[in-house]
Amino acid sequence: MGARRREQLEELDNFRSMLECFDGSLEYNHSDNDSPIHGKIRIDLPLLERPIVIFAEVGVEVQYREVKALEYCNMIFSLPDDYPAVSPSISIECSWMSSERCAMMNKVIEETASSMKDQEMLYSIAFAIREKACENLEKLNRVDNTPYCIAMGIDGATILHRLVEAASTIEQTVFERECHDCEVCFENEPGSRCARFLPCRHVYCDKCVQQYFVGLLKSEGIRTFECLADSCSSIAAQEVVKKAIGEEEYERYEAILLERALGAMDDMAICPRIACGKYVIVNPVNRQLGQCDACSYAFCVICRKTYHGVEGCRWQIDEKLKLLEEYEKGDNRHDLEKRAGGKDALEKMISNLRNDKWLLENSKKCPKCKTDIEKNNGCNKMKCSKCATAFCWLCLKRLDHGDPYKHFTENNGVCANRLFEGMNEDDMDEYWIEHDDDLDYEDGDSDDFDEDDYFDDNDDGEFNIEHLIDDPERLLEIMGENEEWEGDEENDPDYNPFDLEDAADIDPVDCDTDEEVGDGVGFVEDERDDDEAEFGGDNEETERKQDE
Amino acid sequence: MSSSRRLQKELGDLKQCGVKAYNSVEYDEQNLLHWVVTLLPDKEPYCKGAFRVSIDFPADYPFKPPKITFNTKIYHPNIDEKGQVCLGIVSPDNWKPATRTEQVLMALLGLINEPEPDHPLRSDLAEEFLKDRKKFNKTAEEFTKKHADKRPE
Repeated sequence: MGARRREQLEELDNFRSMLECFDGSLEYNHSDNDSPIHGKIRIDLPLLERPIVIFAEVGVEVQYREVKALEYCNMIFSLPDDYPAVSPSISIECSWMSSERCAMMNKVIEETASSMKDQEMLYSIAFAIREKACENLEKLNRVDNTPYCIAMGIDGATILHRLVEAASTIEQTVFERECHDCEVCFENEPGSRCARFLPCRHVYCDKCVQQYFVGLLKSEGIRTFECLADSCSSIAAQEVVKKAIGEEEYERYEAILLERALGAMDDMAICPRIACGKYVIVNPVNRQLGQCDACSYAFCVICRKTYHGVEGCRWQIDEKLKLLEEYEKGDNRHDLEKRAGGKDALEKMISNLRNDKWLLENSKKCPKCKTDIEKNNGCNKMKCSKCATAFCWLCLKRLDHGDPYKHFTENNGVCANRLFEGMNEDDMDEYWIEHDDDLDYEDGDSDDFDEDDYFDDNDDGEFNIEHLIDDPERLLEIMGENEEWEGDEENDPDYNPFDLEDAADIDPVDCDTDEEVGDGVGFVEDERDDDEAEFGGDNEETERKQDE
Repeated sequence: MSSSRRLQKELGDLKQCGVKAYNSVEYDEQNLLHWVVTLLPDKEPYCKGAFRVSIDFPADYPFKPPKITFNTKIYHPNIDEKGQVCLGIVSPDNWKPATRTEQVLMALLGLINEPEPDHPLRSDLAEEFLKDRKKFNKTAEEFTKKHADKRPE
């Protein structure tokens, strides 16, 4: 090996040790024979002073991307035997560089080489390339017609993607090398221990990001992890979240977010089989049907039980109440809407549930026909509005038709003296005002009822309730004697139980079936005359017909 | 404690910021978690008084928001008799750790100057504010005269 060659290799060795200065790499080939050394120096370029826009034809359209850094360029060199007395042959290989800029760079190389004749010049040339490559770039730069792209057959989409990726890598490298002030703890930390949010570019140290995210994970209602700055909604990049909370927690977080995202989609449901739990696309035609691809289970999207066709969902009472509670809390309305098959369907369902709940809390079932009966006022002797069965509101026992009040007077009975229990005074006032006329004993039959005992002296026609309450037996006696007031239709001469005009329309089944539940509420039957017309009719007759 | 460095820095920045409306801060060197800031609103009917506000920082500040309480009584739809105030920027749901106390004070001052009758803590005052602004301003001004501190010259 000649002295020249040794010197050339020495220069390349020195070069390698200085590579750090511009983040490049050097590779060259050299064998022991005397063929010229040739190789490639990769020159990484610094961040651009200001962002530029690159564009390329992608299919029929032109796409633009903004970048803050440009990809490296390669300096291809070959050292003649007489180098450095003879200039090296050097060319530029750069993906984004236009032919004009390539020509300009060749000029830079030539000038540098001629100014350094007889000296080691590779480093100076590389340095000049690095300095000048990005100088005075246009704001807009076409990148798909560069000599490199043409030679390599790279299309617009590919080069755009490649350059954007490269720019972000360079930015990240630069970011990691520099130190940053965390905007939360105000400590200055190296970029490698910091997280940067995009597109806002806010920077925080890893410790603060971790503390914040872990806190969020523990709090109720996980939300998407955002930037830590006030009203900044940059979403944390996957790597940032992973680094902050760890792989395992990250998976949990992802699963929750995914579930929520899918939950927000109207056409997705989760297979109710616990062992399955896969996502299922709701049948687009029948939006109540979900059929799991994984386990083939066909289920109702609303009640999450086996698909039941046109039949309504069968909810258990506790399920109904839970659903209603969930709705009223208002947390998961969207989820509920989805389960119910849309907003309208949910509203309808909730209205039914409210009705059911109300019934559960406020009504009792007729002991004979099971119709839901609401008692809105009046005494505890009830008469079913549907089948006319007389029953006690307190113990739900069916009462003797002939003497229903006996139940409340029997000395040893559980309901003795409890005819008015649960009535408040206002109701009682009303009760008596409404029944005032009925107590007009003009027939003189009521000789043992002394009006003066029960009416106030001022003659305003109102009852003194206390008297009646204190003396219930006496009161019942009075009531029992006045058939008109009691309204027992069987003793009413005007009452025609076989008014067949109406009865003919009745479906006998209607009466004695449990199906009526939830359809509506029968009204209280508190033994008023004016109620007779409404309640005394149809169903009672049907009942009787059936009895016959 | 990680919060002390930050609080120290925030205090320094606040004192240097030059905004008289909120840069008068009292605190105890030994306990930086409690500040008292004097606010000087610049709009009717509060512009004739100085209002003292306690800012209590939790131990895990800045990961949890500070708590704001008015020490000075104020006639305002968004501030109740106990001095509690409903301020979005420091609500636990909205709080972000990078939010600085200066931003909080700016938001607070903004709320004093421009009440939000749509989200009141005192609905009676909100109603008066909307329906009879004259009366509201008069009462609020009297309240300010009676309860608020003198504004520094």
